[in-house]
Amino acid sequence: MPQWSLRAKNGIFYPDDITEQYVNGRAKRKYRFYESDKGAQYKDIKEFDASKIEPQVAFPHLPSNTKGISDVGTVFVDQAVIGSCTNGRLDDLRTAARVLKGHKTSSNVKLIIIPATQMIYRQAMKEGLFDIFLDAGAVISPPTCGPCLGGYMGVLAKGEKAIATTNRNFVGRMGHPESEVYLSNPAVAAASAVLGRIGSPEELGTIFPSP
Amino acid sequence: MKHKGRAWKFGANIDTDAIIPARYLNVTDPGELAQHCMENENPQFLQEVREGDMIVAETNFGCGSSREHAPIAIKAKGIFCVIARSYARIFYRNAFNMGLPIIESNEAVDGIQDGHKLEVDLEKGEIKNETTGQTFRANPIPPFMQELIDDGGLMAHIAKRGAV
Amino acid sequence: MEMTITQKILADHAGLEEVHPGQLINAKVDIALGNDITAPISIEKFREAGAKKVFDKDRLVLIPDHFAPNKDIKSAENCKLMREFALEQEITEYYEVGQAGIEHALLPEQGIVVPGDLVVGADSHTCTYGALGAFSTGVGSTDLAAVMITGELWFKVPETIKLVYSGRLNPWVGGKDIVLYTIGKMGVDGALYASMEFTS
Repeated sequence: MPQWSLRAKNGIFYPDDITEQYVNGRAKRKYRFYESDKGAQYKDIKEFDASKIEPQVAFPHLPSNTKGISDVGTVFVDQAVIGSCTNGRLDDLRTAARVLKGHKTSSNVKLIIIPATQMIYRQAMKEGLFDIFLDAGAVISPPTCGPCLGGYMGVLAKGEKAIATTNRNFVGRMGHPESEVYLSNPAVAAASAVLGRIGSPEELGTIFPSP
Repeated sequence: MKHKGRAWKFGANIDTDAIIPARYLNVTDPGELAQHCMENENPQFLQEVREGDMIVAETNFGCGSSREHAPIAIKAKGIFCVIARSYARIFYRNAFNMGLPIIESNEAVDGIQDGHKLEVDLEKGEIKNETTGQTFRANPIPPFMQELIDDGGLMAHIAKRGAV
Repeated sequence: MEMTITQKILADHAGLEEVHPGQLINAKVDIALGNDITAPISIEKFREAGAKKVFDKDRLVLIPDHFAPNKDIKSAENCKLMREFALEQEITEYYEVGQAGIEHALLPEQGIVVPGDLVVGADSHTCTYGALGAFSTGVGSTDLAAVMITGELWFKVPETIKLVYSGRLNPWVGGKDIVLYTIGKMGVDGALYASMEFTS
């Protein structure tokens, strides 16, 4: 899902077969697939080789302050949050469960998992993901934006550091102005909760499932 | 109409969490929001800012959240206007919609330091630095935004068009 | 004139044959969204304006999710205000905690936003629905109040930056990494009011 802090007005994908599968049966209104014309004018075109991208971590205090996971160094964390509008979907929870299975969170880390909707909550429970989370020592919250913006359900104390799958890491975003937020994907957040420091699932020996 | 006040200088990417931390978003009262304006970013500002002072900032002021609490807090704190190189998109909309004057000017940001005394003429688009004696031009306000200001903000604008 | 996906959606919603970057348009909104921290301000402005009915009771979506289930008395008052407004206006898409969830996951899941829509939300993460091929953007509470009354809003047609991704993803790399990597390369103000078109 596209979410960023690029000062952009919008971000958009061309709908495709996957979109059709997703919306067919749920759409409450008629929908229409649009695509850009071949000769449409662009301000800029940027090309990226996705095969060169490793899991990313955005350091405090800007989402653009990113490093590849192999360049992170040693950053101990006090809390890990998996959820929010950016990464609280079923796929995200399945990924977290794959990493957490058979592991315990570090005794220094509070792991908070927040399914984004009631439907996701129920499905995660049915699939047995909650057992994995609870066995790992996670707390499972009802859907809420709470911790992402330092509201509640995981506010940070002075000096505390969190790895979070949320979307912003500005000064004081999750609590005390002297706390820190590092942004990552759910796999890295889950692995970090176990390691007690920011790290990758590979450090736990977790094999990435082949598609 | 000319207006005088002190400049409070801020850096680039002053985000909406800096302007009003999200933990106060359960508040809608402007006076109460003002009590926390920039408290994480610059506690001195919070203590010493006076009615009519101005904020001067680098690029991308007001980035982050869509919260209108941010321009509301700035206005309720008594800030007369914000001068910056550029603004985040939603903050820009919000400021015009709710009547907080915002000015874009690279030369003004270059030539103003924290604590300088300023005199601003919004109609003429002129910013005078009384401390150094320099005068700067503001970028012109797009005609539609000027129409919003003249009508008294977006709600008054749509009312004028008979939409309510 | 050949147009981008964003221009096409905006043109169709503005009732125009074509639109150009920089052009100011007034466009019809398919879905307008507010939550428990932004909607209370919009509702206050709606009332101040003397408005009686929202433009379409099926197209204004109100979700208590930010500080809900309520974190304190002030949050509870905000949620109550929104709930009472939803009841008064017979809002179809109001979801109480227990049916709800985080707005940007809930709206696609419930089929409330669909491909080709023009969506505005008083929340900066409203851009999420671009994943479905909708034009969606974050606005302020006053903007939302104006849409609640008129069903329309002004937009400046953005320029578009096209982002083209090729190659296979590495293990444990997902959408979050792609976007963080892209922000890292472009900077938080890298897109400068532009539309970002993600393609492969």
